[in-house]
Amino acid sequence: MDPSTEIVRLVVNGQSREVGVPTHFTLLEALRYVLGLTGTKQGCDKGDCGACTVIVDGEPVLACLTPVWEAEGREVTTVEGLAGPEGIHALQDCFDLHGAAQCGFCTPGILCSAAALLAGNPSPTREEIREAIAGNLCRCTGYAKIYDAVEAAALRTGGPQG
Amino acid sequence: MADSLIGQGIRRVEDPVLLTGRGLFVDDVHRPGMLHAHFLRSDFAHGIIGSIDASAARAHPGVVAVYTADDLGDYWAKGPLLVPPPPIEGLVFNEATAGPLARGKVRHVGEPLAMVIAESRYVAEDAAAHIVVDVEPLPAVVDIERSLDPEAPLIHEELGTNLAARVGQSKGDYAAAAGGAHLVVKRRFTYDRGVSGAMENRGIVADWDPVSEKLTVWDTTQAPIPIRNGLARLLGLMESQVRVVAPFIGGGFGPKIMMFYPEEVLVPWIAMKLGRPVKWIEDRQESFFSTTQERGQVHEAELAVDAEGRILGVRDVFIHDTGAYDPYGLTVPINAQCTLLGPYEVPSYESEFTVVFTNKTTVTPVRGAGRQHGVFVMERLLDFAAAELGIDRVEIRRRNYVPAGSFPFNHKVLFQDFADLVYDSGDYLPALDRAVEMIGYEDFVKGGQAAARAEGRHLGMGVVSYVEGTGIGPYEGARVTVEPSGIVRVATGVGTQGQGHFTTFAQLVGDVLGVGVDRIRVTTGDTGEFNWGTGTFASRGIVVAGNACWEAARMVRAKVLALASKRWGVAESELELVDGSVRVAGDPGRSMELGRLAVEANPLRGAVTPGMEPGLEATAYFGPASGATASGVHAMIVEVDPDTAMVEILKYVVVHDCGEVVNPVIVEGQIHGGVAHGIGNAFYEQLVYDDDGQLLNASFMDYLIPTATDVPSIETAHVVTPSPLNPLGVKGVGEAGSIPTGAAFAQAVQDALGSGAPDVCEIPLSPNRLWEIMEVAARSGARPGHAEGGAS
Amino acid sequence: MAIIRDMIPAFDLFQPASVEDALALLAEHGEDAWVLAGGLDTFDWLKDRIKRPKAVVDLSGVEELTGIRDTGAGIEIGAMTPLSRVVGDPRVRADFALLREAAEHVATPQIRNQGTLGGNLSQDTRCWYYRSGWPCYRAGGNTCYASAPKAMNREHCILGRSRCVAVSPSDTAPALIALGARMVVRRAGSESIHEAQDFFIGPATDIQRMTVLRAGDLLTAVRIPEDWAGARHYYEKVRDRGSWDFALVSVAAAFRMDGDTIGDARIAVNGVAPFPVRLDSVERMVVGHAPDEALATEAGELAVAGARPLRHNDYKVPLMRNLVRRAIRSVA
Repeated sequence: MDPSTEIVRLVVNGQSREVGVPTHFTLLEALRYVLGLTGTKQGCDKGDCGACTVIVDGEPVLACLTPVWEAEGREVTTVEGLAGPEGIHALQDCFDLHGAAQCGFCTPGILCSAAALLAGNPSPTREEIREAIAGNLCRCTGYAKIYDAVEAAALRTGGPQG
Repeated sequence: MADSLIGQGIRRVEDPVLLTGRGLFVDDVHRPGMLHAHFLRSDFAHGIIGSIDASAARAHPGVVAVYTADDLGDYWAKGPLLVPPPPIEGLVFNEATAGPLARGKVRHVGEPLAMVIAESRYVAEDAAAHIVVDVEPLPAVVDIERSLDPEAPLIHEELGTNLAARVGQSKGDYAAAAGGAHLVVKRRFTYDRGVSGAMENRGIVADWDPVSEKLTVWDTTQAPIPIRNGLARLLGLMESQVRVVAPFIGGGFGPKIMMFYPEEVLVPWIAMKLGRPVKWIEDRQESFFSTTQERGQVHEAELAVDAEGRILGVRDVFIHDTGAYDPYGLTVPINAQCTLLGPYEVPSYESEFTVVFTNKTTVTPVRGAGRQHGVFVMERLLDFAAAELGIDRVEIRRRNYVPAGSFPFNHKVLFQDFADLVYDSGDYLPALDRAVEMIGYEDFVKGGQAAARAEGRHLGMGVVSYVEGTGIGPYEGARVTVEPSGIVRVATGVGTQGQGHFTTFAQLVGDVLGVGVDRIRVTTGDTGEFNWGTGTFASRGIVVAGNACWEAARMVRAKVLALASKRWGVAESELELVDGSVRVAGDPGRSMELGRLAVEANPLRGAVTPGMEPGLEATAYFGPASGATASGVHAMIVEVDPDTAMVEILKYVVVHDCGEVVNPVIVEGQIHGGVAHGIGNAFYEQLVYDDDGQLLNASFMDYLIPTATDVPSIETAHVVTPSPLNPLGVKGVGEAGSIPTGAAFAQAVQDALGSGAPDVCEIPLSPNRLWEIMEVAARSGARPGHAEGGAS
Repeated sequence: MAIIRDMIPAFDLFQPASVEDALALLAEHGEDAWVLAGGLDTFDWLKDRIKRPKAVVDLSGVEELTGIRDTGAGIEIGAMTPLSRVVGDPRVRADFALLREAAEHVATPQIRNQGTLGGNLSQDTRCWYYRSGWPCYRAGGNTCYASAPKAMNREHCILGRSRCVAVSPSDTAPALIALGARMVVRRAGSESIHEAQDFFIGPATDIQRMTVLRAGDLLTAVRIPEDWAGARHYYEKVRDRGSWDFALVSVAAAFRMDGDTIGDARIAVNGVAPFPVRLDSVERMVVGHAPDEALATEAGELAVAGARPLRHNDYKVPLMRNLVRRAIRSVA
């Protein structure tokens, strides 16, 4: 039996949204099945794959292990919200340019991890990039082209390389 | 023509959608009024089903229906044998396929027992807990080497044996070769099970429209057209009433080619029966039990060589684990049997394999599909022979390669496509030379390794070769249409799971028609768009569907030239197709956009003259006589930490020949991903079954696939020997990277352990297994750098 | 046997805003209550439907449980402080780098953002039989599947077994033991302080718990005294995968040097027993000696004295020995 539905106020990709969800819903379920933001993927639902990574208050977190009520009032950014007013995020463009996506299923989560990295560290080393996406499994790419893409995006948006 | 689109690493046309989260995957499909399915699965690996009482679950609020095998009536039927055994003399094959819900017995943990349909997935799982299942457990068959023991319980009583198949193939006289050999090396090799590990689990959504009497199914399949055909047959519908869409698929790697999974049989059926859309999405844990797996084999193999290390013959006897059922026939063990021969001339070969049933999840191809086993056995045997003969390991390979001038080269054994194993083309030495140079072989063996060891570092190198039969038939097709807008629509039947078909097919078509890829829309995996074909497997997309796309584009080009030539009264040779238009070369005044020509070709008045067809559209099919043989060399340097048994890959080099390259960025990506998968198989990934057939590590926290910190940067280079078997000269590349990795890893680790270490003859290794190997080395006095004490 | 479920069953959610309210709720619901911190361990259990609490007490709204403050005699870290904040904290970085290193080795960036220090210390064991819902001793049953003759137990313990052979999974625990930390535990109406190594209990004490925490108890903070501020330290975690994996064996050590000899030392290991193990005897042995190769070797041998491997985890003995040896060597 579904428990009673609660109203939770979320700020997703800059927009304030109210969702009616059962108490035990995760942020991932609210995004995908209530708000229709299906860009964020469910790969394991246990925090073991990283496909559901979104940015909450600037930090990458696993939406599948975030109870929806804990996201109340916080800034949630999903892959659908990475683009800015002047167009797609440099990471999105560089992922395309460098062939960093294959099936595209883990990619939204990796983009969120990488975007959070660049927001806090505009000129990461390759080692820092590796660490930043170590929480996102990818079975298609072997990761190498992802490093290239993140480095290229950093060069385009970041300060001088450290 | 201007710069060819073929061979360019252009951006992928599918990326703008995928990178902004707008790609439609099966779990993204939502239909109004949709119900959710949940499957109750067996907790036991082997047992007799006494009774299943679903009455409490049926009464659970929110539950719409519950089905057990008995409730399916006439709809219950065993699944098809997808690949019948090849015509090999003396072959034994015992068929056992599964029904959609277990009846009478359960044969592996996770086998579905009941389907619950409810208003939400939560309710369905709540209700499933109220189903009372009475199963009398039986002893499980887990160890593949014990499956045929007289006391082993029978998994399929009606067969009277746990033997699924026995197949022998031979050529030459191995016994004579071994008798006259300077050296025969003999070893036992094991390769254990893993999962494909696609990031997207399986799933299916079915929607029956009673008004139009059409069924739409979104399915995570690599083979939408056979699924459509099969569903129509099962459901008593015309094929045209069923549309199967494989939208974006989050990785396949083999198991999504399996037909039919129980859920694919049941979800469309129940959606029609209830008149409501039904969705089932596999969860990750479920995937570990119900999605097919691969890799369990044990080989007893020997290699006979002369004093110079030239191969005289190979004998290999192996056991292959097919799990609880064998719906995919013998594809995997035959791949292992054939791929063992590699790039080498093997005058005599005696190979026999035994396929056994076990109480584990069913085995069907997973990226590499048995090829890595054969490569592992052959490459390791060569390593051991080289060591015993005192020949350099690169040199022994060099001496045995099939020479460049001998293609097509017939190995005279039967391959998985039921044709002789014939290598269409290849040139192995340049790839080896290049890899040896890139990895720094000379420096490493002549001092680098020793210098590192003097500093207390234990480095090892692996250099291995392989070939891969790719791009087999039967056929694929494609339709190319110029729309009035000038957009070129391409439709083909293969599904796409990340291989970049949208881009490479657009490159092939655009190249022929002089149209930029931004003006080309490729549809794959939608039977509403194209409904002849088989699917994406055996590294065949670019070879089979790619050539079909190219041929269809050429047919459209011919129509364009014929129409334009007639229109302007000029010879076809004076025309060119550039920038989406056809024009008379050197005469800008006589130019027409293809879209306008398409409108002219589809007139509202007048007649389409005999021999002409309306519009600018063509459909073509391509079916290669046999597979195109890709090949390559992998080389790696590892460092083993003797204190922890941890292995770090310091450098990885791939020199690969997949014929003509359509998009080098995509090809590199395929290789990188394959190598990462191979590294996982080599060191991290192993399904742990206990003696009762219980899988203990059914999560990505316990079954470890490599993360970004585990995969090294990979340097790649290409050798190009075009395939003569298809007009484009292409060969497949999807599985290549994963095939020789284990062999390279084992050789490198062996090298790092030093002489005197026991033979590394198994995959996967793990730190604890490596420790055991190092312990033996230590006891024999060869343990690297252990003068400082340490292990007992 | 196999558990193949993935949806959280319904529960009552409570969201206290203060520690007092949280303690009252825990007292009221007793055994039916489940404390939710970062959710990483919790949701694993709940989604598998193996643990089915009736009442979930979510601490995310209790602000006083989050933060790192100077106590004058060291620092106090609120139990709900995310691990990433522990890693990034300047005071931790300057004075307690051992804890920073340990926290940095936890899982992944996402999990360090969500996971809390208290959760990392209180999380349940990863034994795959137990996590799969098998009715073992720890789950209230009457057998241990992991120590059965044919058990698969490469990740299990070599020390401290008592009916249960699961290991403590915490990365921060050995570091806090080496730093002489104390855990602050409150329940309605009382507070108790536990030495870090005493916070963790073995199956011989209570087979169904990993820590002293009982129904109604709440770990509110970790206090780290100045004693080992700025001390030389060594941390190493060996895991199968390069990241995102629990330790096979980890070692955390703090040293105070007295010229060329070790003046004082605290050493702890994890992944080898049902609780993190403080190596008192090794500490006593190395103090007053120069950390040369002979001492390192001797320390390694002493560390594993009495180790009893299971069927598949022999390798943990030399692994533990070698990590302890490396720890001693690090101050040479």
